[in-house]
Amino acid sequence: MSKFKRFSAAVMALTLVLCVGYFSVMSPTSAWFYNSGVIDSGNSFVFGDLSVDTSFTSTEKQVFDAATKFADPDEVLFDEAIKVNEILVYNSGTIPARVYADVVNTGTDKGLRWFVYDDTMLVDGSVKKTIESVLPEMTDEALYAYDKGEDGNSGHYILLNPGEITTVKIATWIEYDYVENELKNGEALDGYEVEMSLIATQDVDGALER
Amino acid sequence: MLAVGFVGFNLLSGAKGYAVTSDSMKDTLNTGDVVFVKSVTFDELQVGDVITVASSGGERFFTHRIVEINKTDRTVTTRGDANGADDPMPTEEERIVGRMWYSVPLLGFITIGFSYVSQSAGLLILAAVAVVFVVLNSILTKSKKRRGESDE
Repeated sequence: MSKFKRFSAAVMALTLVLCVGYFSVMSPTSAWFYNSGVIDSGNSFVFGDLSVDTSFTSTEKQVFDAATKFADPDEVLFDEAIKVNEILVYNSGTIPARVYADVVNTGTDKGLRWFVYDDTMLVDGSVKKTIESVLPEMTDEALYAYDKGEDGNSGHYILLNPGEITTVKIATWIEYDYVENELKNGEALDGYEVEMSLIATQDVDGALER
Repeated sequence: MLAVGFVGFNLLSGAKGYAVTSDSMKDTLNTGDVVFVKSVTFDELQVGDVITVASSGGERFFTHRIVEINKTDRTVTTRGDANGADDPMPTEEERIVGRMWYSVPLLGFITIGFSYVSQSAGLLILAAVAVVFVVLNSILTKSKKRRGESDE
C-alpha cells in the first residue's frame, strides 16, 4: 500500500471516528416529567408540580424474622412472615400523577421480593390473597411484571389527583428457597440493604424513567 | 464525505443536536431520532413550534410543542403530541434552548447506545472502529491488488 493510500485510510478512519463521536456526545432529550423520592424516616412522600430534574437515593437496612414462599398454596403464615412498609403519599401539585414504587436490594441478593398495594386492593385483609387476586399466576415472572412491568420500567401504579392523600404499602419478604442453608445454619436474615423509592410521574404511559 | 459534510454543516450552522429518547412526541419525533434546534428569540416563537427546553440545572432537556405563549410572563406552555395533558409547569424564556430546525431518524441510537457505556469504554469503542476501518481498508486494497496481478 502506498504512503498516500495509508495516509488517506488513516484520515478516513479518524474522520469516521469523529463523526461517530459527534453523535455519541449529543445530549439526550426525553420528554416526560417525574419526581422520585426515597421514603424518609417519617415514612412520607410529598410531591408537588413535577419537574425533570429531581432525584434522590438512600438505603435502609431490613432484618427479616422468617422466610416464606409466596407461590406455595399451603403457606398459611405468609402474612406473618412479610414486612409491610406504609408510606403516606400526598400530591400537593396541580395535576394528576401516577405513583410507582421501586425496591432495590443493594446488599445480599438472596430471595428478596416485594409487592406494592393500597388498602382499596386488599382482599379479606390478606396480602397473600391480594397478590393472588392481581397476578395472573403465582410466579416470580408475574410478580416482576406487576412490580416493574414487562419492560422493567413501569409496573403497578397508584393514581393520585391533586390534593389527594393515600397510604401506599410495600410488602417485602424473603423467599425460603434462596436462604434455606442460612436458616439451617441458624444465620439471621439481616444482610438486606433495601432501597425503597416512590416515583411520581405524569399520568401518561412511558413517563417512568428508571 | 457525506457524513463529514453533514456534521460540518450542523457545526457551521450553529444548530445543536439532541437524541430523542422517549416517545412523547411520537410521529413528529420518535425514539432514536436526532433533533437539530436553532436558537431563536422569544418573540419569534409561535404556537405550534417544537422547542427544546433545558431543566433548571441545565443538564437535562426535553423537546415538546408550544400550545400557549404568555407574552406578559414571557413563558410558554408545552405539551408532548402523544400526551393527554399539557406539561406540568410553564417554561420560562431563559430555559428555551431553541426551536426545532429539522430531525434525522435513527442517528440518535448512536447516542443512546453510547449512554450505556462509560466514557473510557466509549473511547475504546471509537478506537476499535478506527482500527477495524483501517484493517478492512488494508485487506480490501491488498485483495484488489492481488486480483489485479492475477488478471495480468
